[in-house]
Amino acid sequence: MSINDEKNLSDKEIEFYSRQIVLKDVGYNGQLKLKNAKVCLVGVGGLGCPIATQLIAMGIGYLRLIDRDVIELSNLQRQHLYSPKFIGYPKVEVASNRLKELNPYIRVDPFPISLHERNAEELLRGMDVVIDGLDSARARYAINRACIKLKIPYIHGSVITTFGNVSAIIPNETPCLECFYGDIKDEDLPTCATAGVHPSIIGIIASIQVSEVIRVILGEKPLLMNKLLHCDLQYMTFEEMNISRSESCLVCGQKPAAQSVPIKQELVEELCGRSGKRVYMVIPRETFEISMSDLNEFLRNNGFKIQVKANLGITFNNNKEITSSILKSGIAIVEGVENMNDVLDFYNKIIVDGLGIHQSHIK
Amino acid sequence: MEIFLKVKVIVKYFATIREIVGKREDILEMDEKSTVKDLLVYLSRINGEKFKEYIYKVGTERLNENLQFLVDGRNINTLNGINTELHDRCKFVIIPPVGGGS
Repeated sequence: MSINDEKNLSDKEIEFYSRQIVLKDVGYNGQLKLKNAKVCLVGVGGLGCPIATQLIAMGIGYLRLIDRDVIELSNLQRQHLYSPKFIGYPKVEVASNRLKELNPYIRVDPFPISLHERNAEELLRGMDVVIDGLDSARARYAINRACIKLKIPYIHGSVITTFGNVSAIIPNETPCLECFYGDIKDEDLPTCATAGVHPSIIGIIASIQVSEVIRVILGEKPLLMNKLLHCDLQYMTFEEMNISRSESCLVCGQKPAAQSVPIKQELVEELCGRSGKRVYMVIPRETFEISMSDLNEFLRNNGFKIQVKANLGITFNNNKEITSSILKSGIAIVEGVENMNDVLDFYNKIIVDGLGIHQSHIK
Repeated sequence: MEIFLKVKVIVKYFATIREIVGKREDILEMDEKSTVKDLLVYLSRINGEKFKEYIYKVGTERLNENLQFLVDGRNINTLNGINTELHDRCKFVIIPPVGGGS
């Protein structure tokens, strides 16, 4: 079935979506537009779970899911597409399966990869709207730049503790993310793991983002164009700030002061620790495809204990302190290793020596 | 120093900064040709150490890079930085860093 050329809704689809087809802004034609829409959601964590659930239940015909993580116990308080039996599974795989159960009339395409400046355009090209459920400024900037270049509307949302921000970025019409968010460094930001996050603010920000995505698809102007909405549950406040395009913005300005600086992407990132152990992520330079059966065989033959064998990733341990997940795209999450050099040694022994992937794909 | 009050600046506070100052908004009178730098020095004086620690990098007069400062919706980085002039009835906003989502 190709997307974007559906002319009709089936009787079952009409019944499935009947409660929104009656809305004057949707109607039969609007529902058809949703069915023919292609949306990319980057990040299927706190914001991403309710975003994906709502988009799919509303009948977005094609949803591309991008996420580089596996499910952890500490996710379950707010990431309701997942349950304890899926700990160690790649998020995109479990989310994709669950979303297809929720609505059999849509298509979900899971990508177990890390979005960065080098691959952003390739991943987002052809989408009607991009929506973020990320926890990284670096990846948000990469989306922003790709969306400006490809002229794709980008609905941005972010949350921490009890508050969150949301804005609709429409290329050539509104400020881009870098116009109003400047040069934020991930290293200096509080994260949901360190500062905490209230599931209710996630639900609110995610719902507003979805509402803006739907407006874009239906051909209406998003209400948060040229505005940053700040919601804070501690005070139960919803406040809009006017934001303006900057002529000198390095990304979208008509008179940029200089060339934009490439977004730095490290080979190894340290993530928030788990149970007192350090956790690292290895993000190879290129996305490659690992055979899950070859990986499984190598790990078993080398004394590793397989905890989870999924289609898009394997989680395993070495019976000592190290637990790791390797995704089909070559990304690895390694827990219990002391430093970055040890992480790379561990990674190279499996991916380079074990599976024969050439170093040039990695560094 | 005697301050000649000539322009009114509307300052909006959000999130952590709202907790520190204990209010959502201030309307301040500043000297004509006052800059963002002057305003932040004044706000640090009336709001104390906690405000100062939040706004500036520890032990320096450089701004915390994760905070974004807008004058009438424009990021000061794309204007004249901390030397951006304030004008009568302009809105000054400090956007808190919100990077989470996972």
